[in-house]
Amino acid sequence: MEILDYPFMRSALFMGLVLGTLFSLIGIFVVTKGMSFFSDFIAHSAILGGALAVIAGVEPTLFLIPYSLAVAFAISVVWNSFPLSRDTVLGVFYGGTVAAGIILISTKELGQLSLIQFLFGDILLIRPVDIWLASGLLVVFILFLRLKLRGLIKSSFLPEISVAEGINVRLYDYALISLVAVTVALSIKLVGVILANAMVVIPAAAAKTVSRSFKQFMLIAPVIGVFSFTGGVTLSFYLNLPSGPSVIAVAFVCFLITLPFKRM
Amino acid sequence: MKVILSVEDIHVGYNHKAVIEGISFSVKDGDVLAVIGPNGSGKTTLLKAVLGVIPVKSGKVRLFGKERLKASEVERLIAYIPQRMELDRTFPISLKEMLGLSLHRASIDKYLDMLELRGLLSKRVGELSGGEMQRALLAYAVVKEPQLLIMDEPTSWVDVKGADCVLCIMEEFKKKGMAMIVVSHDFSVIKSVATSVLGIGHEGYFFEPADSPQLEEKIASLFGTTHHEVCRI
Repeated sequence: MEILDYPFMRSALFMGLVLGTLFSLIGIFVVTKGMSFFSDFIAHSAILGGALAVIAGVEPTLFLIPYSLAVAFAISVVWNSFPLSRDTVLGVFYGGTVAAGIILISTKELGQLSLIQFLFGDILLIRPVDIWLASGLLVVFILFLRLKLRGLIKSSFLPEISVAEGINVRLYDYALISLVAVTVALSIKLVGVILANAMVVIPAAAAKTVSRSFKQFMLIAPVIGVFSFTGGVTLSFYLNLPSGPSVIAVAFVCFLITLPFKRM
Repeated sequence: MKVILSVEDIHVGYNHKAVIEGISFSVKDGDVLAVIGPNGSGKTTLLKAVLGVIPVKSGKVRLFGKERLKASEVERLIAYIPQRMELDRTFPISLKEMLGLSLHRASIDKYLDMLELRGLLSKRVGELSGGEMQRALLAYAVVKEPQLLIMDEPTSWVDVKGADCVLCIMEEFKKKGMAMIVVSHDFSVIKSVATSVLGIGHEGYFFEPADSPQLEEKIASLFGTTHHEVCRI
């Protein structure tokens, strides 16, 4: 296959395999816990993070991981300290971080990173360090699921009973918030700031529509996620399209296909 | 008899508002404590304080002889059914999987039959009717055969069949010597299964054995009703 002759395409396809699995598994809990706006916020706040990374002269992915974690925890503190709804706090910080990022980008030379690449992703930006980090995170998340899946499902489906049973629901929320922040940060180069959240939400939403059980949900979501990533990257190569929008377009078509097969 | 729960002079409140002031009682294994009182008297707050969900401002709560249980002990020893609980109907989980989230020790089949849920195991929980869903929640709580079952107005949110199931389960648990705390406005529950009654009012509280001759008089005084009306509470 011609596509496999190019090292950058092999990297992109492997990254698609890893991120497709990771995104869809995390998306399962983002979708069931109603955290879609949160992951969208994390992705968009990376505009500021990316600009800061370039100004500081640091590899963007390495900078975006601690940056996204810091932003996620800052938001959690504001959620728990002020009489404002989660939506409102996210809306405020969403606007603030995007505005600050664009101001920085407009006043500074971005060097290696163009705004368009940053917004929509570019497979040429993927470095070995991104692949190692994404693979490591996938291993960590699968181990986390192996150890804590029952608690995660309970804290999502039966939060009131879980709290009464001594389960630390807030700790599960923090763990999930951290994983969302790191995963979104890792995916910016491939799918871009604008579309990163879509890859968290769409495969999980499609799988949720057709699943009769949680087991089916956990099997179908990664299949859609991996198919969307690898299919989108392949399409972008042969049709000379931007990688991020191609990946999302495939995922969106998958979602549309699942709609007539809804289980409720 | 082993003391399952002892509550000593607890004070609980939200911000600066006191809800519970100076209540003491205990529950031993095999006891069924009915908690009654007018709306807003703090019954649900009391349950949450016992479970450690709301902090106690002063006084002591000891569960199974300890002031602080490990999370794994709470999950193993105690089951709680909240007052009114709406489940997310879009959550893709089958009834079998939902019951699997509970740490079941008992033969699940017996409870599935008692609650008439056996034929529904492969159904997505969101597809269950309101009554079936409430029985499913009851099943979730009882399949682990906890040593302490706490229910907040269990007969108020179920249909007639569900209310029968609640009584059935309570009688079964009572026979097995398990302890229960039940918040209820249903006097038939108190009459048929309770061994003691905790009445919480805005002006104070009482803790009496269910067969106490003064009980009806105290309930009447708690609700500000006549002795005759108590039978209909």
